[in-house]
Amino acid sequence: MINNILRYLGYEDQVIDDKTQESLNKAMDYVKNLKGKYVYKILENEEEIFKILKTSSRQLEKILKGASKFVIYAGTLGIEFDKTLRRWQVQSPSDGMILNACASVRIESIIETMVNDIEEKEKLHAGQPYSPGYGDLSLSVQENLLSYLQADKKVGIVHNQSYIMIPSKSITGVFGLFKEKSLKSYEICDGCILRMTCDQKLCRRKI
Amino acid sequence: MTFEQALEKKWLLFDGAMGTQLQKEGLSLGEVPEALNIKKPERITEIHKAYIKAGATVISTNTFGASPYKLKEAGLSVRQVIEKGIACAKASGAPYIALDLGPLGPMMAPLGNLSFEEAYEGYKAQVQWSQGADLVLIETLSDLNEARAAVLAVKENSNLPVVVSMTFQEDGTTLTGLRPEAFVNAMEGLNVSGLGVNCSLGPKALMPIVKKLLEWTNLPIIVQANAGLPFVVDGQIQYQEGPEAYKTYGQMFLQAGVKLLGGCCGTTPDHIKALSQIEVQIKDRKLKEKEFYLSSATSLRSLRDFLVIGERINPTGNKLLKVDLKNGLIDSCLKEGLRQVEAGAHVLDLNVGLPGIDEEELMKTLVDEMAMLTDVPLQIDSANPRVIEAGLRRFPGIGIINSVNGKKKSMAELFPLAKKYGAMVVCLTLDDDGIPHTAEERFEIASRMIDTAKSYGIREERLIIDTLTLTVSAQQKEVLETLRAIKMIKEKYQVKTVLGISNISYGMPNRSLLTRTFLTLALEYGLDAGIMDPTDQNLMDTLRATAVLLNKDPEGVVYTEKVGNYHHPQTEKIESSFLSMVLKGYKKDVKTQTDEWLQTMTPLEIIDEKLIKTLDQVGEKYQNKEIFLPQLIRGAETIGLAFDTLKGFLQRDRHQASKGKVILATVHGDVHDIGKNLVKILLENYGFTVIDLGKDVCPETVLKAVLDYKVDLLGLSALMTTTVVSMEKTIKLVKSQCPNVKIFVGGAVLTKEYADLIGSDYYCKDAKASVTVAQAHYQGIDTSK
Repeated sequence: MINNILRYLGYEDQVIDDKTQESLNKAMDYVKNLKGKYVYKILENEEEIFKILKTSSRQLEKILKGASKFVIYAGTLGIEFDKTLRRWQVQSPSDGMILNACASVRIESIIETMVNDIEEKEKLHAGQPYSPGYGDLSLSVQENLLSYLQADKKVGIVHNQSYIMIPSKSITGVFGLFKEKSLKSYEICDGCILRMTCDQKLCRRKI
Repeated sequence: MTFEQALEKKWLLFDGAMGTQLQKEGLSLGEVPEALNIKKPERITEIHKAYIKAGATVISTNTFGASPYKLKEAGLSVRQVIEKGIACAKASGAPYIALDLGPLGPMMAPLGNLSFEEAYEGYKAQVQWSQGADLVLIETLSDLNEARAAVLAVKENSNLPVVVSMTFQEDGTTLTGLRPEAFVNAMEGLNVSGLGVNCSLGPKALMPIVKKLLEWTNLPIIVQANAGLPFVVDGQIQYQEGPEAYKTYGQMFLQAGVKLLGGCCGTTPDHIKALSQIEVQIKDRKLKEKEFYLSSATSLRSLRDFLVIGERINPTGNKLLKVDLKNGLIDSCLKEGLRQVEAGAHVLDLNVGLPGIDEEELMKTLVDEMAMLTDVPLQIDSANPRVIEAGLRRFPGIGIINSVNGKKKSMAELFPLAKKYGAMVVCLTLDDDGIPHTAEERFEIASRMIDTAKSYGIREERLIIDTLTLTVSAQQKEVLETLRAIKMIKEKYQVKTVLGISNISYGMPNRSLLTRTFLTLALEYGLDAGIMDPTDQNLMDTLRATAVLLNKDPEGVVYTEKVGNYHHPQTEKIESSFLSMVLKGYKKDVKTQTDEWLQTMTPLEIIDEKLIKTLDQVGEKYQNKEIFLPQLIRGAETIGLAFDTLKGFLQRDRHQASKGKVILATVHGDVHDIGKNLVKILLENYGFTVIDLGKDVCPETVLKAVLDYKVDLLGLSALMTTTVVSMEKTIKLVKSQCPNVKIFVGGAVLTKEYADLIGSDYYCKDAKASVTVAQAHYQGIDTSK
């Protein structure tokens, strides 16, 4: 967990002093207790996914190719967390910044648990997830994805006119469930318009 | 018989789901149900008729999604949808017609984009076409302030009774964290005709929430549950509970005291028919003693125990707040608020009154932010009734007005506000003749005010009488008069009493000692609340100690916990160099050092020779990768305390002190402001005056600020590809009107190339880069491109 948090904070092997460590511990303790909420649906065929999203995406197609089932999901830390984050930011911007990073890692790990559960239940292997805003999948499909999952009612995720989600720590996406465990493919990064600037590449490769 | 008269006599049956019926008939997903009011009105009327035949007395119009925000996407007119919707219900022969209004769509500020005023206008746009309806039913809401905006829109634009129904989750709160009891308290304050729950859960899961509502209010309660949870069979959505099971739950609700019953998602005329067959004796369930509570969206505060009202958000006597508020900044108010709540304040007094500022706008922003950041009720403090109303209107709970006095004009202006918003009100015992000398005269004024309040329908429990603390240095004889008046008032009335505690010691040495001794005395005379400084540890300890002695803290539990084991916080390690104090975040040391420098140096010298130099050293360490971003920010934050100390001294020569003005904004549509806030803290601490326009700022607002503040350096932030578009729009607009303004941009998806493409002057890859840009700009060095 800590490595991912530090990665978000732009850490490059600097000495972490006591105060910073204290802030990190405090924030990690806080997010540890956040349970988050998620909602997902498992679909039997690929066409349905594109019908729901009302779009096409060659990269998403590539990722889903060969899958036997398809999962569409949304998860969030909830609106209370946004309030807490604001509180921390007002009291201390550096603590707020650290909490923000911890929370990003926390929601990712909640989704990871969800993925593991699905894998176990379905006795299949999850492929690489793909989200609105990645590569050639426009962020605007967020609207269709959220409304299909009734994410507003079920987990409290809404979006604004720029398709940014509220609460801020929310994740949506799609992944395939495969019979065979495959090595995750990072080809999609190569086709991404952000490949030169993104420091959160799916592949975690250094440029 | 009107709806309200009918409600007095018996329980009333509402109809069931509309959407479920329409979907059954093949309303395609994506089609707006409200469009059918215009396209196929006869179908809507038929569904209404089916419910009437099943026994429903109240028919809800097919206007759940008639919000201007939702209809805009569908290209329909609000007026048409609502007028036709009411006409459909009329045509069905409905005994009573409820104009049904759902959520507006966008989420409300400060978490979302929608302001309180916009929400109000959104409901007003619907309510103004309500002719023909017998009541307005606001339903399936989860944000308390959206519900409040809706109720105010109904009350101010129609004569119809309004019933409000929220949707709760299994954990007993709404999506925004609202609790049933806080919902009740806020709605009672606005004088609604009924309240309750609908949707989201089946009847069984709603029972505990309904019980909670019944415990807290005398108002009629509405329950419109889903027919259990949906599940899918052969591609068709089905619901768990059939009519018979639904009837059993219906019976339980009515027996518990619910007066309005109907159905939500998944219910059919059969469900409603089953409900119509319930025979039940209406329960007379008036709560015996309804206690008065203050509340916020997330918590309630009883007035049984002493109420600590934090006094520190007030520019009078606070140089830092004064400077910040004059620049339109509320950050130091927010910090002060959080500090007081942490120290034990139960209520926060908000006062932003300063000449030459827009007090009303500042109060609005402050109330929005403070209501989100803290859980405590707010006390709106102003000499201007408009400001008081602005604050009360948008505070999502029941707060306090500070203050009304015994002058006729004051009472005529403020009591109606207290009534309208259900607020408590501080009553000062002074009138046209000033502050009376004796307790008897003050009692006299209090009695007059209590009687006048009653004539406005305000009960004693909502009044807090302030018998006025005078300073002991000037009016020593009258200290006891103040206290005696408390006792006299408490003996005769059910009102509460309050004093501004700190006033007593003004102009005396060792103020804290006098103040807390006065508090002890006042407590003995029966004082219920104090407007005071909760960050004064001694004062708070005295309060807790006195509570033990007056037998108000049984077995001294609170005392033992808060005071008994109190350890003085460890002093920070002594650091010899200012740089290491800053790097290690030793805030106290930094403050002490600054105070020391002030003995021998001017504030400007300190800024130039000490603070900026140290910041440069911190920045260098960051650039050399000796420290990473959170450490850089903490350095700036720590040094910020030194700046705060100096700000008060710099009021007169602020222009010299400022290295230049910079406007910052996160662009329209974008709600991510962490990056922008980091830029702000760094720029401020490098001595620049930052005008922070916040997040989600329209291009026009940015342009207006550039013109108003006559600033020629502007920073814009956007995090997402979708919002970079609005960044470009903003740049174009500003450049078209003010070609000389230099614009720097930053944000996760931006690159130097992209920044050039959209017409900005500088691209900042991180917060530190913006400092370099600002410094170069104000030193006349052009580093663009």
